[in-house]
Amino acid sequence: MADNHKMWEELGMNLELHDQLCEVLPQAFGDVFLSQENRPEGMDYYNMVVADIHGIRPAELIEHQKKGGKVFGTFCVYVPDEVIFAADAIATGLCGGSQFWVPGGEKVLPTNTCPLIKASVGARLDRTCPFFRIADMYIGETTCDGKKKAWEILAEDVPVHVMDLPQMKRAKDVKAWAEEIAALKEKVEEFTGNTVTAEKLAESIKLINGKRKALARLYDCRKSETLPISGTDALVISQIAFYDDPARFTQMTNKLCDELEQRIKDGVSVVPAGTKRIMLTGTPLAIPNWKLHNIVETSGAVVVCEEMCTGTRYFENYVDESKETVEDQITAIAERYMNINCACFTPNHARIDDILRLAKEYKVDGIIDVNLKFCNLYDTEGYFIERAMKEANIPVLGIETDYTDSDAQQLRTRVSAFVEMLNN
Amino acid sequence: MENIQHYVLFPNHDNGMRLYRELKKLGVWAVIAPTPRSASKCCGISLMINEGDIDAVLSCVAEHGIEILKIAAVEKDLNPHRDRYC
Repeated sequence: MADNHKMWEELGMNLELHDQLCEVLPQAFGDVFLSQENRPEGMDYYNMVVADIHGIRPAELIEHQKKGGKVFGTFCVYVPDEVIFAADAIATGLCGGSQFWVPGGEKVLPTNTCPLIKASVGARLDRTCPFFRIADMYIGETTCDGKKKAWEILAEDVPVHVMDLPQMKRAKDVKAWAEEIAALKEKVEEFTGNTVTAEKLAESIKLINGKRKALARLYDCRKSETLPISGTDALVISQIAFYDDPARFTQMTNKLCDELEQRIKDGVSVVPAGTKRIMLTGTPLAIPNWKLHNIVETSGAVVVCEEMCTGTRYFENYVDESKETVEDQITAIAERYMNINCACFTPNHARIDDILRLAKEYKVDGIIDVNLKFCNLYDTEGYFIERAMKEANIPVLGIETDYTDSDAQQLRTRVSAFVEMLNN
Repeated sequence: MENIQHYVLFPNHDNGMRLYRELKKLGVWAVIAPTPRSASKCCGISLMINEGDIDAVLSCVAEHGIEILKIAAVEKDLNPHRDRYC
């Protein structure tokens, strides 16, 4: 749309290169989403968000900036949005999920860096994503070695604040994370010129909890034997949650859930009875990484849950809303976020407990443990996951992949064989 | 014409959403989609509609003063097994 081109030009984007991304999106979206039958009507909202992904939300962020507001870009589910929104700023997810951005990242990063990091750095340095251009400051964190070095490279181009995430879960680590959140508050206050008061923080805790509750409601619908929504559709909703306006996202997701709950009552399922139910575990699937879901769901199975950052890790557990001072609120935020079970922690047995619990709740027939290439942490933890699933008699398939299309046929063969095994 | 899909194209998403809402009120089938590249190089939203509803869509556009660029007829080409991702 003409308005978008003017905006992208003003953002200093590389329009020619960016146009190559615009060229492939409609076909990929059509193949993965519009080819599905019997989609819920409420998916039209998310269709709109993706269809104009580099237009509608970026324009809103720019409007916010014109009024003096700041935009913070984030890359991890440990970064507490509550603090950013409490300073009348906006947090937006920036994780790159497209192979299109990877070569740009490889100009400055080792090839054996995970595609998510390479894509995120490439999107900034190649000037091909408006969100990366708009964000006034990036909030990084120390969840892996690749990211830690990437922040140093990005900091030469854009202000970056890094949060030091403890890698164990002792009481002193939770306290240390609370201190990091307090430091983020100070940084955000200094950068925005706005004070984070207890009232403001209470409001934003409710706002973000509301988003989590809407996502939990969506995922609850996926526990039903009558499956009212595909895993691919649920995935794109999770992906959009990271950068959409939180209040609007919550409203639209709750509206969709009304429809899904009615579908369950009416016995409307998107798959035939008996379709094998798969849970994906592992590394995040940032937008527009839809490859594995599409392959699973066009191979005779359906994805019912993601134990991922783009999944249950993002919305499970709420921040305690009863605290009345900023200090107590920050402690409550730290406690909630330290309940997320990422492979960067040692030990991380709670993640295995999560997967076993989710497998029961979602009536899972099999698990696919997904690892983005060169993510050493999740790859190593896969050893424990596969062992625990075998002990629990839950079939598990380990997959390593990246953002390229080149392994799609091989993945189809492996996933089809896995589904066939589940069916026999 | 089974292999043809019709898309309504817009100068901006506001007009697209207005038409979408009006068509829903009328019970006319419409799905929000990215603008097909073969229909326009300008990315953004479009509305997939049925050929049999074109007259109803045009009436709705006129009645509510909604701006559209055109209605494009595009060959249907949805293939979930193509494995060409972004």
